Amino acid sequence: MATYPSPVVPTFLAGFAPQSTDFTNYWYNTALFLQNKIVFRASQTTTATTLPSTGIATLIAYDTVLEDPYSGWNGSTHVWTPPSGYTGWFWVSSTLRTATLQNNVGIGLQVNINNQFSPFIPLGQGFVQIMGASTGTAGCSGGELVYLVGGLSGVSISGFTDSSTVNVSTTLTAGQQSTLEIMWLTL
Amino acid sequence: MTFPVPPSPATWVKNQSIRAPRLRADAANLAWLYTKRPLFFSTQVTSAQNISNNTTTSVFLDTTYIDNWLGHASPTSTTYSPPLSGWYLAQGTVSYVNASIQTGYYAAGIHVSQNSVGSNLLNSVVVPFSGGGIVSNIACDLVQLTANTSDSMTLIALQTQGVSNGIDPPTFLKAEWIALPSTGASVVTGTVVASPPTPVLWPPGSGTQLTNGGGIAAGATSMTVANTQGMIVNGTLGLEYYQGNAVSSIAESVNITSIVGNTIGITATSYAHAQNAYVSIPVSAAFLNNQVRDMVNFLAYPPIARLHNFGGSQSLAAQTFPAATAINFQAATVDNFSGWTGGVGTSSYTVPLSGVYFVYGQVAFNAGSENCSAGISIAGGTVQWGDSIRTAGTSLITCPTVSKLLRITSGQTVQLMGTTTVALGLSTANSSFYSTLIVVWRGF
Repeated sequence: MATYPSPVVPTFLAGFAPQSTDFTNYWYNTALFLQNKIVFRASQTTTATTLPSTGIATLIAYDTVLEDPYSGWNGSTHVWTPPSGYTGWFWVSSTLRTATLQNNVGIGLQVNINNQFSPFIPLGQGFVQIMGASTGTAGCSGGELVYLVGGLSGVSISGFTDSSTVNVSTTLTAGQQSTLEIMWLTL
Repeated sequence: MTFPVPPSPATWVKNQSIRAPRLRADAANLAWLYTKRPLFFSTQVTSAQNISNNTTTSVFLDTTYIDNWLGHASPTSTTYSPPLSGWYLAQGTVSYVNASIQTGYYAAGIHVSQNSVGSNLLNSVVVPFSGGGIVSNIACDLVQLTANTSDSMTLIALQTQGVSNGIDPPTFLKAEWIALPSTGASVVTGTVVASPPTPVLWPPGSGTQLTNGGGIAAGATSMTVANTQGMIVNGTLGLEYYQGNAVSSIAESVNITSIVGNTIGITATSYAHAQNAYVSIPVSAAFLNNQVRDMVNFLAYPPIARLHNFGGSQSLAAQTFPAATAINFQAATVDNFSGWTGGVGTSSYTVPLSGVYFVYGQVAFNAGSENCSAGISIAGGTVQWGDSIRTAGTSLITCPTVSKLLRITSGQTVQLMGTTTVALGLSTANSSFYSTLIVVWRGF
């Protein structure tokens, strides 16, 4: 998949002919980017993450990259960073899927910026509550708008349990895998 | 402060001069709009709002992170007023301090005021577990709003815990302009471009040359060239033209019918042309209509759809997860590329163009829910599950949601799937609580 220069707002000056270079720089590249916005998608398919019963937020180690044309993913740290020059507002969405839960247990997920629960933007989608013993796997999902500085701001996802007395593992079954998606929205 | 205007690109005609004002009005305006489209993101941090029992309540948004088109009046306002007419993707979260009262539920939703008529749609509805922490609920809707009117959107909260319940972070509303409106008087409405153009480079002033060994005969409908830069289907080529001037008595123009590599399908020539004959690629009206007008129209009005089952009727049989049932829809609020072809009572949205799509779905169950889940199936394949929740031993409504960014191929179907462990009817008679499927094209 191709990558494209960060979009610019064209400046067409009166009196100048629309030369090939001007059109390429002012419109062609911008149109390409706007038709093919930065997107990242990943899932967890091979190695599960254990969410401790203590409720501590634990990094979800996505191991399968579905698409990452701008090569922002770090497979060791499980952090996605937009490349330098691509600062902007991004929508981050995630689904957390886990094994069957005990009675009256909740699970949730949160978005981290540079591995920290950012104090500047209230992140987090603690969600899902299970009353009674679940008879199937559990799942919750959510999204968040974040401002990422190209080359500097890294996004990761953590999951956590609430009121569980046992550790809980994420699931790897097709269709029941945890996922992460990031998409550029605007400058 | 100035802002872009609603895109309304002109149609270029033969011999029209290419002037800066026209390029600014169309290409520059669209680029400006799309790189700085109306985007609003505001949260509740300081208000510590309490939600009264069983009372749909507008949520305070006291801390704003972005409101680039100034649609939110003040930190004490609960509404976002559209600064630009069009379709807005509203997404939010309402988080509650968990009161753990399992005879009641927590919910979030979106309220819209359109033409002075208000309506609510509850999205995520869950029953709390008996523990600490918070309970978060998702809100999501695709709504058409008109600028400079009383139209607005609001994040709403509803809880039935029997007591007043506090709101916690994260609680926020995000509103994003997606497309021009589909309808409306005195507004610029969207234009469907069924075959969006691929950006091509500006035609080279020097043109190119015919490379067929032995040239082409009179009546030829195909030729090969050294360079296809600037060529588009339905564009014009000048055979035996160089830099705008005829260089031969057999100079003629043809139209491009196809482009496959360096092989160009053309309308039949009147004359034979030798190998290495000059081929000029003019900056034609067809080129500018394709690369500017159609490009602007497509980006300003990409495929979007909102299907719902309000007014319909469907019950789900008891199933063992992950077995699931497709949710049937009653109507389309919007379906600009006509992907919902089956009509009333059918479940499939057929994707019109390949690309990355935002897909949101919610399955609204009547009271009596057990294990309930919502997911998305592409082309009838394995369901991609979102929420799986349980409310055993209660007689409360439930609404799991699913939200995905998926790469889908043109012609594939999208279905919202639901499952429940006890036979249960879907909520279809309540105008504030029903199932929806939202599909928004995000890029190729």
